[in-house]
Amino acid sequence: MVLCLAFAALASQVAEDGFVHVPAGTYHLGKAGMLDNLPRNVHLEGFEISRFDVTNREFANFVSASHYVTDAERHHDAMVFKPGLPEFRWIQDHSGQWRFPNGKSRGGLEGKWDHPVTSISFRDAEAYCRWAHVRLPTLDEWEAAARAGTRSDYFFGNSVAEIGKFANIWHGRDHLKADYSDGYMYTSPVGKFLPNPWGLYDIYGNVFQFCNGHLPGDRSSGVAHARGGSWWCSTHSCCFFNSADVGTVNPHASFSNQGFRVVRISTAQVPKN
Amino acid sequence: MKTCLSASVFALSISLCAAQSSQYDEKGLTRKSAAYHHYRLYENKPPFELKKITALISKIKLKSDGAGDESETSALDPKVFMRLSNGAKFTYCMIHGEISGQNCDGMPAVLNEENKIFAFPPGPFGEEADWSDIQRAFLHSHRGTVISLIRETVHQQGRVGVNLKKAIIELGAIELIPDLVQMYRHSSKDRDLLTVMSVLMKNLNFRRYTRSDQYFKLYSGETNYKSSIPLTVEASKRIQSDAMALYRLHRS
Repeated sequence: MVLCLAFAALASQVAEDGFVHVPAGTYHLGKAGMLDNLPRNVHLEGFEISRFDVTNREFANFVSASHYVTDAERHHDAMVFKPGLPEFRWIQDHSGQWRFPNGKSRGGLEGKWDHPVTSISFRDAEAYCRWAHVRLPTLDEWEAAARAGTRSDYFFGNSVAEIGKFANIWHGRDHLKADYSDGYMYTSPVGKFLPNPWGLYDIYGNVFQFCNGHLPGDRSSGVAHARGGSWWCSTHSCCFFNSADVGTVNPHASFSNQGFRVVRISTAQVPKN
Repeated sequence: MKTCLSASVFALSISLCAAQSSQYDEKGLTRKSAAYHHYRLYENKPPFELKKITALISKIKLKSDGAGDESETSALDPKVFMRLSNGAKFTYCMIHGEISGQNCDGMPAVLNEENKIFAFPPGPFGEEADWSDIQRAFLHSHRGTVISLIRETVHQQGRVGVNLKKAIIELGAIELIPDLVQMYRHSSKDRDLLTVMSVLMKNLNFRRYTRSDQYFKLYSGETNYKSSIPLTVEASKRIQSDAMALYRLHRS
């Protein structure tokens, strides 16, 4: 296990500008028994993935420069959370959007500019990527980067007991009472918890990270996927904060536990006009 | 040398055949489980003013924005909803969720799914949508009517889809336990009928069940919403028997 992690640490390089280089190679992905993500070897070209999720500050720069209006701002249909809701229940808040991730009554972004942007949709994340000349990772790229050379459920092993060191998650038995036990009920600043062996922060927890691609079991091509779990996820609810699970959501849905990290577009991938 | 080469080719063929065979076996199991997963996701289309409701839904769904999306979750004008008959409102709620469902409330397909009793059933609407407050309020305020409409739909269509299962759990409809038991005895393929009974007992904190080993394995300790127990005759009988005891207690 230690050797595996040591090898994993050597396999990638942290670039100066906040991206981690994942070298070209064959990566073992998937988990036994998961029909939508069966164990398999996948060859990936090398890619550079951001160490952190995109922050509120970065998204504000995008909106300021492009005057982009998000799905939640147009449709007033952000899905927000407040303690006291039954499991898996969220509420629609007309005032919710990236500037007020859980609705105006629960505050804005004061002191949260270095938190991951949330209450944005998959389509909003794509718009940011087009503006910033980056792209979302594919489902396979995200998993290869998250695993950092490991085959276990988590990059730190198979026991969930250590998750609190690496991820901002929900530690309560249910969501009826607020949980601040790790310092944060909603999002935390990016990079506040320990990184994976390749130097990627918040791979698990904090926010679900949108990815490109589809699953064999998708019932429609018009769905989006995100991975890594979020601050809302607990070991007793979905426990999606691992390397194998893949979430599914409407591409226009804006939840306050959804965000994204990006992949740098290589020269070969830049579209020719 | 020639003999040695032939032997090597033979050995390679054998190992390739073995590898392919085990791969096919795995794929066979995978296909069986995937088929059952698909079976579990069946949704009823209640017959009450179905055509009218389908037409209304197609009008409120936002069309493709050019990015390939089929539609966006959206709501009927509350005034239009209020003018519908109870039957039409029921149909609308059963085939359309007005708000989005979050990323992780879907139930992933797993190997050997057909041989498990799960803690919770999968959700309706492609697991990407949920009922709004207005929809939930209608279901609860017309509980008796809704239960009758569920029963009528089930008896007409012979299945309890994921949308009706969700409604039964939402309403704590223990009145329907005998129907669920009868349905399971008629066709035991739908293990989620046992799951619905199990969730009803859990939500009502029915002590005879919550003290059982099954309850502990499905809902206590380190369990989560994907937890399951192996499907056995004993387990299925226990759930049906406890659920009927809850029903009888409710009637008395």
